[in-house]
Amino acid sequence: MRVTSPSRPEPRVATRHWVALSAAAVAIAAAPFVLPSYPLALLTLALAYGLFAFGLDLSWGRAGVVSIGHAAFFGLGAYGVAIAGQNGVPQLLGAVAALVLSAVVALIVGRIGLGPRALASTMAVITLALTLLAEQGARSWLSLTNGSNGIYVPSPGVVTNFYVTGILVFLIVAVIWVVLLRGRFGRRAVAVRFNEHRTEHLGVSPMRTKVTAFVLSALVATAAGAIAAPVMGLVSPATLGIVMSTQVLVWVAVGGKGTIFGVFLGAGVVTIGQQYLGDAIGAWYLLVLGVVFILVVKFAPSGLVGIASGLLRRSVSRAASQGAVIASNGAPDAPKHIPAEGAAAVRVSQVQKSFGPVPIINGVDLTIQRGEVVCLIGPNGAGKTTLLNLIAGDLAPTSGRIEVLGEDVTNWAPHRRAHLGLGRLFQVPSLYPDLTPAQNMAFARAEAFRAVELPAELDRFSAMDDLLASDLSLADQRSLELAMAIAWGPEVVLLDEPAAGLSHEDSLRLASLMRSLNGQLGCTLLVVEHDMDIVRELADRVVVLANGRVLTVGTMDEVVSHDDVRTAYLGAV
Amino acid sequence: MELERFIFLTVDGLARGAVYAAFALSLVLIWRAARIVNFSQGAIAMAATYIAFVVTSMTGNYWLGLVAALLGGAAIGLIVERGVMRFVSPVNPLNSVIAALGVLLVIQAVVGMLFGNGYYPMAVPFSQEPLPWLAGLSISAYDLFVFVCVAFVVLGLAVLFGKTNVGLRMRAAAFSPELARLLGVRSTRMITLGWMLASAISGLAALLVIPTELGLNPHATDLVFVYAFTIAVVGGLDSAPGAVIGGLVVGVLLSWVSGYLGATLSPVAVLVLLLAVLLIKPGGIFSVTKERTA
Repeated sequence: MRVTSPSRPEPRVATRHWVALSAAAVAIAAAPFVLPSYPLALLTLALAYGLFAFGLDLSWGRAGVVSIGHAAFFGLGAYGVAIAGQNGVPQLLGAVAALVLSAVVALIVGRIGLGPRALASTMAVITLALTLLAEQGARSWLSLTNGSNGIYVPSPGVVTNFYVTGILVFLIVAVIWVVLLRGRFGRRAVAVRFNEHRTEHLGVSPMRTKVTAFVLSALVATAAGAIAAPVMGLVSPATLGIVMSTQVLVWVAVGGKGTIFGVFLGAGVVTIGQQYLGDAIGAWYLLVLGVVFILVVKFAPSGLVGIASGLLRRSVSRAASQGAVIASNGAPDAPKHIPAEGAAAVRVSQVQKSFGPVPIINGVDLTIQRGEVVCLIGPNGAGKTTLLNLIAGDLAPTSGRIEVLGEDVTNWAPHRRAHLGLGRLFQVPSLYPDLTPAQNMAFARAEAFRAVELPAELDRFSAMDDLLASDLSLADQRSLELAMAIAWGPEVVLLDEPAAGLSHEDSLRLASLMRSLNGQLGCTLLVVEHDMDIVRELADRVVVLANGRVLTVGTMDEVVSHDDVRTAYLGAV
Repeated sequence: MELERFIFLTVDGLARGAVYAAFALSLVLIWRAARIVNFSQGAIAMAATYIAFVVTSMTGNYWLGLVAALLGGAAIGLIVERGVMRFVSPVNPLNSVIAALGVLLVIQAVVGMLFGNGYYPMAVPFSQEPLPWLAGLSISAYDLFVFVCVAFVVLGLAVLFGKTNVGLRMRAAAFSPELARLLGVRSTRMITLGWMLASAISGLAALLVIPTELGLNPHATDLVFVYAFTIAVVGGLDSAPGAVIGGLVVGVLLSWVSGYLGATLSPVAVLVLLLAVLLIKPGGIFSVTKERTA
């Protein structure tokens, strides 16, 4: 394994980006001088459709939120302009009204369809319903939409159309890319798509990130529709419909999701292909498109651009982050939350948790003071992991009260608890397997609760930038998760069997590392552990859990000599 | 007069709801077998109905068409599962949504190529006039036929899963494919069987509803799929009784909305219902709370 030196954080707009942006600007400026009018009109349409695809990609490609009915938003923009034009209202006003409406709809749909317990398919069906509904609405609301005949939008001429479209598309894409995709939003979207659970425990709300992505995506699609209206000339119910909605999915998938070049390429290839091939092979065209779509999804999920860049051998880290800047100088000087004087790190009072009729936690009372190292032991099924999940917010208690650092967090979502400085490690390491170890570390630091100086043993990952985290051995993945959680700067850390699967020597080294973290950084640690040697090494206090109750609390020696503990572990002798 | 209309709308809603319930059952079946929400279910059902249409037109016999819809649906389900869905990685549930969408595109394109995008009228075997001997209930012979078909499907599934060895194996394979395989169940075959069964049922449902409500065209079942999914979500995706009750409830609700407020509003009502259920009880009304994942 080669370890490269840590590179400086990437600038938002690097030289290669300036080159690409200027090339795009020159191409747009020059096109009308080079192309005859029919190809130019086609290119205009392809650009507007490209913006639509770019919009869909903001949610599907970046944040992993699929919308099967995105044409509903696109058509809304187109109808906004068309209806305004028909009624003598400025088209811009129509576009703005459409944008406002689409933001409201997207916000409502996103809040409901992307909730913590919604299925991936829920969002797909809601958006599908949206596009079917919009199409039917456009057909039936004759007074406003002129029904199935649609509304004509006068074109200001091929060249004007091209320049207006080209400039608007260029500006919208460039601004979103520089401000959002290269900024905090882009970083969080990647993180949420790769590992929602981990991101949540680093204090970022997955739902908020996804809803933002979806609303943004709807707005861009609406803008694309408004821009496309004069280019298309006729705005009909099909503009909002299911066929248009599936088309845009095809453009994005074929071109390559998660890349700007890819979505424009996909929209261009398919749109222009349809014009020229559509005449030649007629209805076969749709079939070909469907088959290509399935093949792409199955064999080349990153599309044409993915195939091409696979040949280019980009560096592992750049390929992994897909243009998002993971690192940031955002580590705060002061912790994001200062707990009240004398507040306990964790206080669990009368907590019960049952799954259906089965009680797992049966009235636990436990207080952990700040700066303590407490080990939680107990036989299998005692409820240790469940207790950690309750404290971290992955589960809601059936009854009782949970406080973290002086705040009553009983009904809080995990990311809000993390905001208090609550870190979490899992039994199976939870990282971003598709990012490099250095990027994993960079993300944790970018979202840090407070800035900390890492011991060298953990900091080694910060320079590991030429392989993916999923390539690491299990032991290294565990260490990386610990390194991330500590680099994030938590006040309290919950660890679930950190030494599982490690050799005896490695476990003891891990124990002394954790002790030193506790000493140097003042982290409070709550550790579930089976290995008694580690517990002896690590714990200030040992809590024994059995059958969902606290059996006893004390030092290792006190606990070991306790009769009930022997009974719990060995059965009645 | 008011009461008569109310009864008419309710009965009509029950009849349509029964069909939606059958459709929702097919979604539940595949969800239980493979943990996939099958977005191509509507297209499969639509294609099966085209098969029935062709057979009925050629032979002049509705019943042969019905058998053809069942067999054709099962065959398409087999092809889709063995040809595409089996190879989709289950790691990200989004993959199966996208792959099924591709299947939908292909099926609609093929049907569009063979038959064009126009509407075909289809005959039904029984009158749609209210039966005189059920005075006041405005039930037609066709409604009765629909009820009988759906009841047959529901009972058949109950017997299959409750009483037979194959049903038990299918349940085992759905619950834990690996464990079932170790115990000698051919899990992949059971999953394929689930797809075939579900596709046949959805084919039957489409054949029952397309001639009277929708008209035969490549997009006939787009909206029915949304209705069926809504019902499956209302009922809890895992629950067969939930799908049946949910289907009847949603059918009646839609019938009232379109009867009293206007037909164009019924899809809006479905969307509102779907959003409301997701907002209030995301797991479905009939679902057993199941939180534990670790």
